[in-house]
Parts: sequence; C-alpha cells; structure tokens
Amino acid sequence: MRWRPQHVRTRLTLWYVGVLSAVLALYIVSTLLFVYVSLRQQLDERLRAEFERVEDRLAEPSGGTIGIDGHDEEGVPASLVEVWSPEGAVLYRSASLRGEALAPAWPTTTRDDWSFTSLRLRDGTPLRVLSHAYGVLGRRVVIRVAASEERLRHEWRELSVGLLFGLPVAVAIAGLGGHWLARRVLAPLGRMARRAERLTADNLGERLPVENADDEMGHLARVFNASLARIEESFAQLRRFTADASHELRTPLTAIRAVGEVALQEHQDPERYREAIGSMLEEVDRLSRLVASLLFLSRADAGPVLRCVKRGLLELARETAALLEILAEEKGQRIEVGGDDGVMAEVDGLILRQALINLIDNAIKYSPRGGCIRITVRTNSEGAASVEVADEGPGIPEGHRSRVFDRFYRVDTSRSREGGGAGLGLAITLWAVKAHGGRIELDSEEGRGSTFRIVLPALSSSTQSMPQERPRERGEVMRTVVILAAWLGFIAVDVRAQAPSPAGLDTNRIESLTGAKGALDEKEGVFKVSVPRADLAVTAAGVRMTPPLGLTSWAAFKRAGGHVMVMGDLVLLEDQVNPVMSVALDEGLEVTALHNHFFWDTPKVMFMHIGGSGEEAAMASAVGKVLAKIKDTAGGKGDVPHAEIDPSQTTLDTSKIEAILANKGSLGSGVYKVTIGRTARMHGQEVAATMGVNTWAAFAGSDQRAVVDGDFAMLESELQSVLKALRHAGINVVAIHQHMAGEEPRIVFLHYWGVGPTDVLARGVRAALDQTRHEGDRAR
Amino acid sequence: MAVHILVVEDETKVARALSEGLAREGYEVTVARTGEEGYYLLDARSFDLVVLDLMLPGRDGLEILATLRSRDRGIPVLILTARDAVEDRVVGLDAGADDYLVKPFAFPELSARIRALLRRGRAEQSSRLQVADLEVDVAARRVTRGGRILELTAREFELLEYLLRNRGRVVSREMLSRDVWKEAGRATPLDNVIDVHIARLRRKVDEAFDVKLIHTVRGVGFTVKEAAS
Repeated sequence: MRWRPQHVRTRLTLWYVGVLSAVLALYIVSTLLFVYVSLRQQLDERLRAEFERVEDRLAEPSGGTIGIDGHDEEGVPASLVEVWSPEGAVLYRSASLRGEALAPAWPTTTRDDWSFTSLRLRDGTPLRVLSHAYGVLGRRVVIRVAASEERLRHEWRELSVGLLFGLPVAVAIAGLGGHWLARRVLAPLGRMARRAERLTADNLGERLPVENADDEMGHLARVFNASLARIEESFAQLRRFTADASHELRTPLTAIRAVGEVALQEHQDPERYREAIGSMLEEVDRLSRLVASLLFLSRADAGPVLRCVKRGLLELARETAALLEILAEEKGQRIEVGGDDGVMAEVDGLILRQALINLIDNAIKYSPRGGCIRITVRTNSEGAASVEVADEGPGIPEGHRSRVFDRFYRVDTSRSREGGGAGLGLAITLWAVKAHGGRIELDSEEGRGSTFRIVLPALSSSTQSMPQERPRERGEVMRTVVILAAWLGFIAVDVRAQAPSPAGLDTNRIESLTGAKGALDEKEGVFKVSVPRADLAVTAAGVRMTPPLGLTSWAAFKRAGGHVMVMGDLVLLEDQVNPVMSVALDEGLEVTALHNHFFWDTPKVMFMHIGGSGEEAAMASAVGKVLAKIKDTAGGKGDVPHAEIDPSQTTLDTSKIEAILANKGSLGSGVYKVTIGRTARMHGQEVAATMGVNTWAAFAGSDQRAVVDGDFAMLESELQSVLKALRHAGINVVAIHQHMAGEEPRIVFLHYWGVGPTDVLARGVRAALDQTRHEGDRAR
Repeated sequence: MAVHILVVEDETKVARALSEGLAREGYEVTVARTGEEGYYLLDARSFDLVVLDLMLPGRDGLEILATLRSRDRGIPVLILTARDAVEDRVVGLDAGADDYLVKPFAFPELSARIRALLRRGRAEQSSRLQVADLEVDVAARRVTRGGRILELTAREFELLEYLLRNRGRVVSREMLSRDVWKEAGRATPLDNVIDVHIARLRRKVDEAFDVKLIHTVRGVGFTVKEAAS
C-alpha cells in the first residue's frame, strides 16, 4: 500500500520540498556545467594568446631544430610547448615536459585550424592542449601549446562542493517555510471544521466564520453557510409540520376517546350508544380525511405526476363553480363566472380543479349571506392565463397573508374546524398551482374581501410540470454536495426531537399548540397567549366582572437559552381548580400559587399561577392541554365532591390513621387531629410548630366516608411533589400561599380538603409527607 | 346456497368486524388470520370471493394473489391496502385483483364493492325502482310518490337513483362523492355539497308525507328504507 501523509499540510510541504529540490538540483547542475564550460573557454583563450607569444619567438638557432626565444631559459615555463615537423619529428619540446609527448603521435589531420584536446600526463596532471599547423621559416610545422587544467578543475570542484552542501540546507529552510505557509493558509479550514463538528440538529442556527469573503476559504464558508441556512429552514419546517400535524391528529383522537369512555361509564339505552358511536365515527371520518390530505401532500412533495392536456380555463371554472353553487345558494350568494372564453392552458384538470374547489369553497364560507363571488378568467399583461376568485369576506389581515398557504395555518384559530377542515386546503391549492408551474397571488383588504388569483404560465412555455430551479454554478453545487454528504451523515445521527435552535419563539406553533391567540412583546422578547373567560358570568357584590376586569387566563413564553420558560395565571371556577391542576402537574408544569381575587363573587373565581421551563413545543402543548381542560370543565362540568359528615357522629378508627401517618394525634369533639412541626428561622429566632410552622391533618366521619382538612408547610422545592401526592389521592388543594416573609429557609403553605375512605385520605397525606423533611415527623 | 367469502386479514378487530358485518348481510364468512392459513384454505375449499389484506405476516397478500391467479382465473378478489400510493394499487390490480379498497374504508363501501363484484357479468340494472310508495322510472327519468310527480333536478335524480339502488343499505358520503359526483380525490371536501343536496331531496321526497324514507345514519351516511328500525 502506498503511504499517504494524513494532513494536507504535510502533503503540501512534501510536494513543495520535492519540487523545490528538483528545481534546485537542475539549477546546480546547469550552473556547474556553465561554469565548467566558461572556465575552459578562458583557458582556451589563454592558450591561444600563449600560442601567439610562442609563434613570435620561434627561431631556428641550428639546423633542423627550432628554439623559442626566452623560453625555457628563464627556467620558469610559462607554458608547455611542442613543435613537430610534418614528418613526425619533434623539433622542440619544453624541458618541463620531460620528454613526454603532448599528443600520442603526429596528428593525422594537418588541416590549418585550431584544435583543442585534453590529456593527462604520466604524473596525473591534466592538460589542455592547443594544436595548430603553422608555416614558419619556410616549412610547415605543428605547434602545440598546453597548459595545466589543475586550477580550473580545483575551482570547479570547490564550487560544486559548496553548492551541493548548500542544497539540503536551502531545501530544509524552504520546507519549514512551506510548512508554516501551508499551516497558515489552511488554518481557517481547521477553524471551520471545528465549528462544523459542533453542529447538530440543535444548533443549526450557527454559521461558519467567514474570514475573508472574497478568497477561496471565504467562498467555501459562504457556500456552506448558505446550505446550512437551507437545511435549517427545512428542519424548522419539518418541526412545525410535525408539531401541527400531531396536534391536528390528537384533536379527533381525544374526541373519540372521550366520547367512547363517557358512553361506557354507565349503562345507557341503545339510542344513546348509537349516538355515541355515530359521534365517534364522525371523528374517524375527520381523521381519515386528514390522513388522506397529508398523504396527498406528502406524495405531492415527492414530485407530482401530472397528466396535462390543453383545455379552456373558463369551462373548468364554470364546471367547478357549478359543483359548489348549491352551497352558495344556501347562503343566498351568487357565483358569477365570467371572462375570456379563449384562455387555454396545459393543465391536469383533476388537480387544478381541487385548487379551484378549495378557493371557491373558502370564498363561499367567508362571504356574508347574500354576497357575491366573482370568478374571472383572463390573460394578464404578461400573457399568462389567470383565474381570479374574489369574495366579499372579512379579508385577511396583513400579517397573515404570507402564511395562509402554510400547512395547518388558520387565520382565526377560534373558528377552528367547523367547516374549515384542518387548514390544509390552501396548502393543497398552492401545491396544485405550483405543480403547474404557476403561482398564486393574493390581494386582500380588511373589511373588503380577498381575491385569490391563480396565474398559470403562457401556453408556449407551460409544458414543464415543475418550476425550474435557479441554475447555480456547477462548481459551487459540487463542492457543497461533497462537504454536505459527509456532514449530513453526522447530523442525521444526531437528530433528536429537541428544542429548536433559532433565536426567539415560533409564535405560530405556540398559538397552534396552545389553541390560544397571542401577542408578541418584542422589547421583552415575550409571547403571551391569553384566553378571556367570556364564558363566565361573574358578579362581585353586584358588579358585573368582565374579562378585562381580570378574568383572563394567560401564559407568557420567553426563550431562556436552549429552553423556553413559561409563566401564567389561570382564571378558574372552584370546580375547575383541581382537575386543571392535575393536568398542569401531569404535563410537567409547576403550580406556584392558588388564591382568590375578589370578595362576594358568584360564582367564586380562583386564580392559579403556573410556570415551567423546557422545550418550546412541550411547554406550549402543556399549556394547550391545561387550557383545553379549562374549556372541558367549564360550565359546571368539574368534579364537585359531596359527602354528608357530621363530626359529632365520628366513628372512624383513629389507630388506623395513626398507623398510616406514623404520627400520633388527638381526638376531640369527634375530630382526630395530627400535627407535625418543622422549623425555620425568622428575625434571628427559631420558629416551629406552635408558631404555626406545621403540617396538620384533621379527620372526621366514618372509615368509609371521612373528611380530611388541613394545612401543609413545606419548602418551595417540595411544593410540586406534595401537590402531586395530594392530587393523586384525590385530595383537593384549595389554597397555596406564603405565611411569613424573610424566613430561612423559605416555607410555603397549602390548604387541602378532601372526602373519601379514611385510609385513602390518610395514605394521601402520608405520601405528601414523604415528599418533605419535617423534623417533627416520627416516621423519619 | 349462501355466498361464501374468505376474509384474509391479520388485524383481529378488523377481521372480526368484517366477518360480523358480512355475516349480517347474509354471506357465509371464513376468516384466515395469516397468509399461510389463507393460502391453505384457498387450496382446500372453494370460495365465491376473497377479501385479501395486502400486508400480512407470513405470506404476503400479493404472493397469495399471484398463486391464486396462476391456478384459478375466475374467483373475484378484493384487496385491502393501507398504502394509498397509485403504484401500490397498480401492482395489486396487475397481480390480478379485481378491485381494491384503501384503509381506513367505510363498511358500506366494502359491502357495495363486494356486491358489485358478485354481480359482475350479470346485468341487473332494472329501470324501475321502488320503495314504499316512491317510484323511480329510470328510463323516463320520472319520480312519483303516492302517485304525485316530484320535480327533481338532474343531480337530485341521480342521487335518489343511487340511494334506491342501494335501498336498505347505508351509503357513505365518500361513495356518493365518487359514484354520483365522479370526484376521485379523497382530499376534496364535497361533504357540504352532498349534505345540502340530501336536505333538498328530503324536502321534496319526505316533507309532505308521514312516512319518511330518507334517513341519516350518524357518522356513516344515508339510507333509504321504509321505516326506521
């Protein structure tokens, strides 16, 4: 297997060093070559000059031999000279040659040119030899001049050694520099990777740092961030959709369950059963239709298959209007269909008809009695075909206009489902029109009505069944795809249904989950839903108390880091307090106070404070369930306990109570009372049982039918579990309040009252005691 | 001899409801709770019609259907599927099913489909329909009650004809939507339209008479019969 360094940094450095070494080696070789050649040339020039000097001094002192003036005589041989006769006899030879020939023999060519050769003397001295045929003193001779190459070679060797030793040093320095540079360039990538590693479904709102928007890294980060934004949006959409869908599914399920359970509670005559089953089947029908709509949309999302044919839109509009005309007739409304008969479009009649049915159905629903619905077909200024459905309804408030096409969105949440279905109609309409490559325009004026306009592309270009995606730079897409592929795998593993990350609150979801309308206070970052108790007719000492006079339940949501906190106040009748409290506790909310607000009010109104913190959807749905319970128990449907007990006739077995509570009490006037103290400090003093810091329970009645009445003192942190324990035993909590101020630790008090078998009540009180740390509790 | 229907359905509650409902309509019903059992029963006995759930433990509904078709072409098969996708239906019909129903379905719907399958090949479209003193002459498009001619719109006439052809049985809004209004999409809400038409028809047919013929069955649909029982 080939070894590959893991880091790009190292790879880059290695490549850099490799290439640099090769370039340097090439450079050194050519430098040495060049230097060698030029040194040789210098030597050759010198030999030529020497030759000329020798030539000038040639003399023929005695017959046959040749001498050189001044040569040899000074004993300092400027050069080595040899003169040959054409016959091959040596006419002159420098003494320093010591008889050695400068060429092996008489050169075969006697051409009249300069020839250079190299040779080595017997003692190893390298020589450079210049030979030239020359006519002198009436005959031709060959003169050879030679010089030692020793110095040349020495110089060249020194240069080579210097260069070759310098090479590794240069490469090493360059390598370090390269590494540093690579590190520096790649650093933003590392930072991006580290940031990306921390991304999960929960913090998709984070973005990669863009250090320089214009360079390659910046480009990458921007592309990445853009993809991230798209993913985040899809996630948010999915979350909203899931929350809404489960809410919509839950509503009919709740109805079916409630109707069924109630019907089974007691024996009833067959007519009542029939009624109950019928009512359940109606809900099943609603559920089935909802599922069918959802399936339709989900399949639509996967990509529509349209069977398009060219057809006249006016005819289609007439056909659809005729189908629904009877509904308009019932409301004394008119449907006017008009426009240009020649407007044609490539459409899938079945699909587009659904869009039109939804629009016309809405128009009929929202227009007042005797109103008029106008459907107009025409070609607009762009040459596109348009079908307009105008109603005379109340119009759609500005803030809602962009969202009416969202799945499950309803402008008026209280209008709910009566005829409005699940809020999917317009979503289906929008999809159907988009599938045809068209769009929907909405004009609306509050109080004047709304106009929905389906605009389909002109015939020539209407063959595409899907709107074309904006063409994007190919490289960008590829790069994004590569990084995302790796990343999505990572995210997919980490997807859990947790709190959504975007800052702020999903107010639409809160409204839909709580089933209440809200208002956003941007300054405080609080979204508050409220439910006026308009169903109550409360008078306090003759004063009619209306919802603005304090009779409004509310819950306020605020984002706190990854969680959402909620606080609220609920307006309840006496019989609603405990059922609603149970729901709140079961849903993970805290109940923090319970008190009255008026005197002399009928019916008596109580106020219950709730709070909590957690995932936004969980909090909203908890509040939604609490509000639903209030609605369900309104109008006197809460459970009112009733028992006829006279303490003077008490027969209950006190030893049983004592055994269960594990604390001893005392019986007086037919009431058996147990008091358990605890201590706190106030004003530097210890306060205990007799100062009122105690929990007590008083029992009266028989073993089968008894009343328990009491007070409970506990730490703030114990309140919720005490409430749960009491509610679990069916004991009513009638007040939650403080008693002191500035005590340490802080003690809260609650009052409770319940009727039932003695042992059940006693066990309930014991279970509540078990949630606390009463110093006086013998069971501890 | 009673018509014998095999119901292959693994969901206990659905199986029991189907078996009781069909038995009440006068069919003899055998229930198979697994694909294997259905396969065995089909091999061992003869049935007039099979109601087959596509998603079964053991042997898949489609497999049973394929084997059945490779042996016997004649027996009508109605498949039940929880998958609504067009491809699933096509696969079922291609495999040799005669009709399909998507869960959740209304029982009257199932009953109507079964009747249609059993009737197949036999023309039974009588042109005169009657219930009590209400008479519908389909050919002449004339409706009389107690000898008095009732003026109906075309849609009202179709609606009444459909109700009368199913007299004594309950028809759901979905059946009306599909068979009278020819509206295929389940996501299209025509319930209001149907209800208004029924109300008008009722006004014309029943208002002036003591004996009411058109009845609403809450949560299910409508029925035409002589007396409420």
